[in-house]
Amino acid sequence: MAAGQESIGCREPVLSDGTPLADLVDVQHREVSMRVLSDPEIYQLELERLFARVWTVVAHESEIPSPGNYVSRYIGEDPIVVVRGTDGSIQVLLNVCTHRGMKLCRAEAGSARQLRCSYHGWTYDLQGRFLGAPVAREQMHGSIRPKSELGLRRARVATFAGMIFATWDPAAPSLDDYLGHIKWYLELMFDRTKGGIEVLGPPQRVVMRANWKCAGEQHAGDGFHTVTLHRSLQELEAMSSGEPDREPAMDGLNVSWNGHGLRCIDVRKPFMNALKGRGLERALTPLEKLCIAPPPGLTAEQAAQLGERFGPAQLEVLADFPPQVGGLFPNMGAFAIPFPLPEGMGGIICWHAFVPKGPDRFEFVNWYFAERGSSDRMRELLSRASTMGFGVSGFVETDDSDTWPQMYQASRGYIGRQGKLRYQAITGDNQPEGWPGKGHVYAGFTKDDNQWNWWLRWNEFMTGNPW
Amino acid sequence: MELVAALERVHDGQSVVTAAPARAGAALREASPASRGRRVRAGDPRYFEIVEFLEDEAALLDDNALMSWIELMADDLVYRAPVRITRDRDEGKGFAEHMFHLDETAATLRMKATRLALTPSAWAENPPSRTRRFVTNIRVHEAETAGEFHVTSSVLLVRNRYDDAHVDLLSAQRSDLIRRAEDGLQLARRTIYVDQSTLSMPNFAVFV
Repeated sequence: MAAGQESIGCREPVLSDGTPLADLVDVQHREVSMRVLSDPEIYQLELERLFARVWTVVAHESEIPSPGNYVSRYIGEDPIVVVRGTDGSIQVLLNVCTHRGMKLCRAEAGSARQLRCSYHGWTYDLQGRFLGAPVAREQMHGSIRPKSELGLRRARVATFAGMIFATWDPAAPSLDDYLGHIKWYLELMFDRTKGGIEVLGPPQRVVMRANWKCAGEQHAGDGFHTVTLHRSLQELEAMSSGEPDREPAMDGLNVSWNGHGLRCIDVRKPFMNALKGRGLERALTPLEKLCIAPPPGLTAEQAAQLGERFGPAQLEVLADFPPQVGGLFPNMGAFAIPFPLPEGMGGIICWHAFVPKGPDRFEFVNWYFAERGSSDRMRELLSRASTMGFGVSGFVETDDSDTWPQMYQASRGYIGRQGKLRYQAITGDNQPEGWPGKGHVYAGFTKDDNQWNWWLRWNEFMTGNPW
Repeated sequence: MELVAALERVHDGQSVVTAAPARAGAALREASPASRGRRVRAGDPRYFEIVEFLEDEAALLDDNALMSWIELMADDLVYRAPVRITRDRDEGKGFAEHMFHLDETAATLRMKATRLALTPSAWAENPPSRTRRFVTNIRVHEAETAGEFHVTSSVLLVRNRYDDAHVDLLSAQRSDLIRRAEDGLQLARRTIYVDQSTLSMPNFAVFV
């Protein structure tokens, strides 16, 4: 039942105008040709070489809690249905009837015992196996192909923190290997308690008139844009404090692996400021700090149990340098950020997917989370903070959503598409002594290293065999 | 007869969806005026007062007078736009109960308005969009508390940015609680039921 592999890698890696694919990413100068943001030929190659191969997120387990629950989504431009089987297992199936190509599940969520096509009634079980068609005595699927060959195309499935990932590529490594060293950090954001996280509801979705890579590369670790694109946040702060606006906290560590990237923010100073004069700062263990200032979405009681979940190394990073923003290659964003509200301390736990809809648009899919069993009050704080900060109406991403379309537009012109995207601000590997995490670590002011690694990974998929 | 009654409930938007994952339904019940108090009909001076309030409010938003618009809000405001998904007919209208595009109190709405109106670098709306709100199909019912009214309306937002030749449209039903205060009418609650499951405008940096 595994997905068959396409003849990837057989095609000459040269675009129809004679440009070698390998020339799009100029490794020597750390530049990327702007045509990648709008070229339809490159986009088609991405569907084949990238989106048919990568592990990408499609849903969260808590969206389909009971047998038969399904949601319909997309991988690349392929419609899929994510369904929980009668045995509780999760399947990701191509949402296309094998008879005449009709879309099977037309609702975006629901519950079903079987998947039945609304056109001629071909019917499949929740594993995607073909069961039969109406008027059984006439055997309307014929006898040329046995039923076993008429099942739905099925993707490989794996989960992390309840996030359901899928890939069409039988040769892809396990999800654990795909995440690699970045998983250690991701656990600090999404996998912190025994109960785990659950969605607040179905994701926000909005279509951006931009190429998906505008969002993809930014989320790998572009902290620098905050200074300018999100400057209004500093201006607001200055307005309320009466002090001139300052540069936001740009220091921390960017971590990168397999094209994934995260930013670990140095929170020691604000934390110590809060404790100043109490004579406690030096005496506190990481766990004690975490109980005083719990990670987003956790209560002090839940924070007190973090020692059962994490060892000393992860606790130390979570207390002093928590990973707060980042993205997974190629098309995901991941956030766990404390966010104060007038009514109390809120937080944002969210996950994005940037689902391509052509070279010129993508769907921004945005899930918000709470710990399972959170109080209504906590859920309310998380919901308010999340819509306040991120997503379609938030302080931050409303500005991003107005930026990406203009990058796409700029890449369409004959002259414009000859331009370059530049990644020349380099920190270089400089992992501080004693840093307990793995992966490439770039400490100090946030620079371009992470995003450049994202492009190198993109290049591996586009030009050769990424595994 | 039971079947007919059940179908009528569905058509009133009152069918409760219990099936995971959407937990929809409750939000929609709120939108239905069927269980409200007495209808305030066209011709009643209170009806026209409310129509004027909604028209003046839309004019403030169309004029980008966000800080004046904010003054129309009651202190206990709840202003929400639930996320919507496509469901089969017998499973309700697909509005999420706990997931929103906008989930605002008076304070957070003021913060959003302040950022957009008073900081120079809120690029999402600088340069600002040109917008027009068409508010129609206004129905008013008395609420349980004297001086409060349940008001439903349809709104079509037309939005244009930069030199785009296209416009973005957002069509929605609004369910409001409008309250008579000392210095005029106030908006105490608004739920915006959008007609799209995937929004076609790139953000919700404008209000309806």
